Amino acid sequence: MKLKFAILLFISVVSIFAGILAGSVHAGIQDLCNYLRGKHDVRGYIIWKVRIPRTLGAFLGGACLAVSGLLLQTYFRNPLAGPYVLGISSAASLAVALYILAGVGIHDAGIVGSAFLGSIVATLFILCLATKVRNAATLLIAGLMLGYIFSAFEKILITLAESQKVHEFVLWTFGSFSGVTWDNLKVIGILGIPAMMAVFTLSKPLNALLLGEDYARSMGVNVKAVRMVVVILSSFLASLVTAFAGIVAFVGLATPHMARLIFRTSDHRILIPATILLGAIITVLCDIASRILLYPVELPVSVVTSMFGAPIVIYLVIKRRRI
Amino acid sequence: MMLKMSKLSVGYSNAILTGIDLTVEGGEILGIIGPNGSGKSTLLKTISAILKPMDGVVYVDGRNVHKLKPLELAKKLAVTTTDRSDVGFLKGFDVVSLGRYPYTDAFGRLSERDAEIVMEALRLVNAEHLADKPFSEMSDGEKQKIMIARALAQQPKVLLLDEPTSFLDAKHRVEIPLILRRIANEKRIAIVLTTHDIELAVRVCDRIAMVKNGRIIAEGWAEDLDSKIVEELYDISVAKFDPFLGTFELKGEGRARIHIVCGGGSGARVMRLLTKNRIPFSVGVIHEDDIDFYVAKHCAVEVVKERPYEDIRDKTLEDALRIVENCDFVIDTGFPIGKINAKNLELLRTAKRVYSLRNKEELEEIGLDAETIKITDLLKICEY
Repeated sequence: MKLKFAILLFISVVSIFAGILAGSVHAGIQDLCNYLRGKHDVRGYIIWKVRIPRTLGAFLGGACLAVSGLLLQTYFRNPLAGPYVLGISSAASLAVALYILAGVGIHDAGIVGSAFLGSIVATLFILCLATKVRNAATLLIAGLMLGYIFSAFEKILITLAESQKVHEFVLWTFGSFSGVTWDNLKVIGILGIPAMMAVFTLSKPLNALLLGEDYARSMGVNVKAVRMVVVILSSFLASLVTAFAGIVAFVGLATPHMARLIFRTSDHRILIPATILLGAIITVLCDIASRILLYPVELPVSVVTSMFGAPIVIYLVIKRRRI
Repeated sequence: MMLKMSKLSVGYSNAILTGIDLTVEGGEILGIIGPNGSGKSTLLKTISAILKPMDGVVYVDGRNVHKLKPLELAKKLAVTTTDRSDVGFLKGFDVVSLGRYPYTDAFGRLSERDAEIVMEALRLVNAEHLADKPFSEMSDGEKQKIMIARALAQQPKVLLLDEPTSFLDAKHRVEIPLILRRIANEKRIAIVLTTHDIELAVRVCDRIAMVKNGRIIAEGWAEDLDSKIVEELYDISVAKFDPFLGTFELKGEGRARIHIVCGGGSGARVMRLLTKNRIPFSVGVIHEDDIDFYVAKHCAVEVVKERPYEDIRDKTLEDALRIVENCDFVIDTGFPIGKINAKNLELLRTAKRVYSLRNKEELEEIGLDAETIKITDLLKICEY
């Protein structure tokens, strides 16, 4: 197991370097060193200002989404749950749709702000429901339905909007880490890393929840409290990534399954760090692939994650893999 | 008093069961039986504080369960439900060690003592060999054992089991009740289980509460059940419950054309075979204390009986002869012949056609002229 973690760590480092080096402009470590020494040329600028924050953004963002997915899969005991099942993505995109399509503006800060605001509103909705429902299955259905309601309003806005703005909006929904700046990265790091650490402290009750809410309660888990924390943390992590990178599909859904299969365990004390590393690696690799697959055209990262994630999900459904 | 329910009413939005006053001592097993939907599981969920009571109080070890913190309650009361779903890659040992939840540190790390308690729990349910087996690859019976061991790892004073023997294979249907008995006797844990299998309940439980139409219709010692109430509980008219044997016997009906002479338990198989194939028969002479009598009195259309431990009187034999005269043939089940039932041999000798389950040598020895037959061939001659 330690070996597996060592390998994952090694691949993480390699993937980050690959992410920094890959792209349409040839630039290497040498250019980065020059830039850091104070020699400000274009190549150095691209590496320092564009590729590093983008790659690290993908790394952190992937980790956040994957952990969020793991939390919800365990809590709902549903292998098909992901970070967006509670309507976070639909709420974020409705808010962004309002911002872009209703003509408030197209500034990046505005998009980030409205996406985050939208997700938080959805989280509050879900939290209200979570205090009222009797079990996880009811909450899952409520979350899915909430998502449909948000999507319906979003579609009304799309129907009424100008095509130029719709294009702008649709591009956002595809998701991309290309716009991540150092300032964005700081926010993701400062908020995301503590949130992921908080998830790790939930390992014990999450393991008990593998047997279902009733068993967990009978063994001493404060199920209502854990439910609240699960909703808050998973939604927060998903909102954070969605605000800066748009909707990145499948990473959150597929990664926890891969972590389980690689480590052959359901113990969250192992699964959580494993999922964090795997989610980070996969997202960085998909981000690289999005840059080079149709070079020089850059694909949205969701295209790559979906192409890569969907076959895995199909495989899992057919094989009925364990949660 | 380990577990006490006082004026308890349970339900979701409407009360399903009301007026429950039950107590269970340490080392005692209380069975709650009743038809599906009678509220048995709802009652268990309320006792285990998953549901709030509509009214009344549940005390475990003198404390109100609905006022205890989850961790405190988990040290006093453990539960197994009918939910046996997927727990991923967890192995037997891992699942049982989850039961140490209320005792372990913030990351659920097991101390040596915890590991010992987990192994002890596995031993108690005969499941040490399942420690390394993935839970998802176990049979229902093995899973049930593991879930019981997990409950024991909580070191509870009260153990609640919802339908512990439903959907199990034959081996575990026998083994799990024995394990529960051992847990009650050795660990002095108070056990409450629900079941719709009254035959199981009679075997394993000390006391039984019967639940129907929103209330407890009867409660008492398993050895003291009223067969009328049991039959009412299940709305059964085609079978009779025998409180002495603790089993249901199908009721025989129709005009008997076959007479059975049996005793000492030799006739039970034959009577059950005929009854389930709806072949009516009469029985006698049989002594009232004989095990075959308890089966015969429900299955047979007519029974000629004699008082316990007395020689068969001439008058009783005459009653039997009258029946034998009017039937097509007589079955001799190979019963042991002694002083008090010697007249049954006389009865067999008088009959015009006798099929006997004895072998040829035995027939010669007792001097009976009969056709030998195997029990598996009985149906053929009965259905000619």
